[in-house]
Amino acid sequence: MRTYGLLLTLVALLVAPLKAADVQVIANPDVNVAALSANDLKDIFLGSKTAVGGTSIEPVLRMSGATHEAFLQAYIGKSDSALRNHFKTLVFTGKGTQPKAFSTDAEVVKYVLSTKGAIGYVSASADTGSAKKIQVK
Amino acid sequence: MMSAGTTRRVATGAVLSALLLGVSASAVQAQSITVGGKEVAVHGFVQQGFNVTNENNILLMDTKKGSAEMTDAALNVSSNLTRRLRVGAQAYVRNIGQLGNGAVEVDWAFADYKFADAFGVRGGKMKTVLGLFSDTQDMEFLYTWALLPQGMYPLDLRSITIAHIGADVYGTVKLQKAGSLAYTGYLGKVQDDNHGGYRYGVQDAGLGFRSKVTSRGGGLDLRWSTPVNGLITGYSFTQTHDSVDLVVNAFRLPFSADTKQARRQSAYADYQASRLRLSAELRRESRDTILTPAIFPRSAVASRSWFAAGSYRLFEKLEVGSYFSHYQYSDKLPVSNRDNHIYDTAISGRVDLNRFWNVKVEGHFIDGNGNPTFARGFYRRNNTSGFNAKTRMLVLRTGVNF
Repeated sequence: MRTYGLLLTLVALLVAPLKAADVQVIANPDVNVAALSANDLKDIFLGSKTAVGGTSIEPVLRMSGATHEAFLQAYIGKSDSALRNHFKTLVFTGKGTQPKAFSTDAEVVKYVLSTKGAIGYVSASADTGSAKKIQVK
Repeated sequence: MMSAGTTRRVATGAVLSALLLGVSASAVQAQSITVGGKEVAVHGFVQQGFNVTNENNILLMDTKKGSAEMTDAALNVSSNLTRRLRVGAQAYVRNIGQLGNGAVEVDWAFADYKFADAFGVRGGKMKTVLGLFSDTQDMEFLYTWALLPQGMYPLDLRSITIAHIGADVYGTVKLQKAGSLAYTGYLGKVQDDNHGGYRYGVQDAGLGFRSKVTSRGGGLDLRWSTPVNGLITGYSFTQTHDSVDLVVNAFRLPFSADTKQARRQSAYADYQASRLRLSAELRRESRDTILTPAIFPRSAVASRSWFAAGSYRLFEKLEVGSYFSHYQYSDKLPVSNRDNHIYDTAISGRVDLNRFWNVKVEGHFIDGNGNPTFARGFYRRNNTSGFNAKTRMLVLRTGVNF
């Protein structure tokens, strides 16, 4: 049992920590802010904040992967399964919707650029085209 | 030759099972369709359970022999008609022993207008927010547990707390560095349930119903998301005026029961870290009932319940957990009486086969039966030779959602 515990600890130490620097937050150019606080960003992606700078906003998720995990760890403070449960709670009580989720950065960028008020996140190295880069303070 | 009710239950079970198999066999995805230029989201779930007990039949199932009469399902549609206006509805069906009997009901159906994040209104039939899990008690996929703590969220009394028809006000107020406070206030009526556990418990006491149970009132929930990441705590209050016309079957003696103040108060906390979840809730329920004519003295009963639960995700697909649930029917009677308490210790394991499909196995070690007239799981009708003080129960449950 102790060996098993040590092994788990070792694996945890070897896994590179996921950082906010691995992620960039992007928005449709009509979103009227250049920066958001970390708390506002969390509220947006949990559905409790639905407008910024007078613009209605729509959060967009990555479906899974390192960028998604880094974003959750850095800004949301929930695991992927906890986040999915959060949205299922909204969906099955009728109190909200499940955000759209995409498999690749390119799909996120394409949707954000084509949808008014859309806010998403992609890896730091992704080509974001004319999407607005949002600074998180 | 099967009765009409049995035929209907079997047919419902067959349809639900087919749906379960059909849905799980395909790659399940949330669906959306476009109607009149508006996107309409479609979601649903199907859940199937199997219960076996060593003593006492539970939840109106023949659990001593093992029972798979534990099926429920829901399907909903919703759409944002404008930036602020949202509409939706959900149908729900269940067949858990004699509970629900396969009758399809409107679970919720409402219009929601959000003026701002801090203030919105809803009208129609809404899920009632009471404590941590009242509004989500049907959604086993949200939890580690196959059964929520039955002392507080009994399957058989679901309809008393699950929804109301009326109006809500709600919102979330930012508290700067102190987190945020979500509030919900509501007024309305609670629908009677012809296949609810409270009816069976009262009937087993030799009483008959001469009318529907009417229940009108309101409530409030305050939920504080604290500055500690993952920690919420809150308080719920609800009060209703309940009345019903009954008859003592043996004497054909009609009477009315009137409860001007049926109150429930709940204090709760929930903490979620990356793999860990800890939850606890304390609830007090009180009823002051007057009978007319006064064939029994005025009855003021206060019940107490609490639970503490912990779960941990060991691996991506495996979660384990345990809870202790405590229920005391009347605080005026010795809690040690087995017909005045139900203590339940549960140990659970949950495997997520994929994002949409989970399987659970859960053991329960139950002490006591509670008051069988105000039943929570234990009924006279399928325990005709009386109750045993201790019950061990194994629950297997699986569910698919999309």
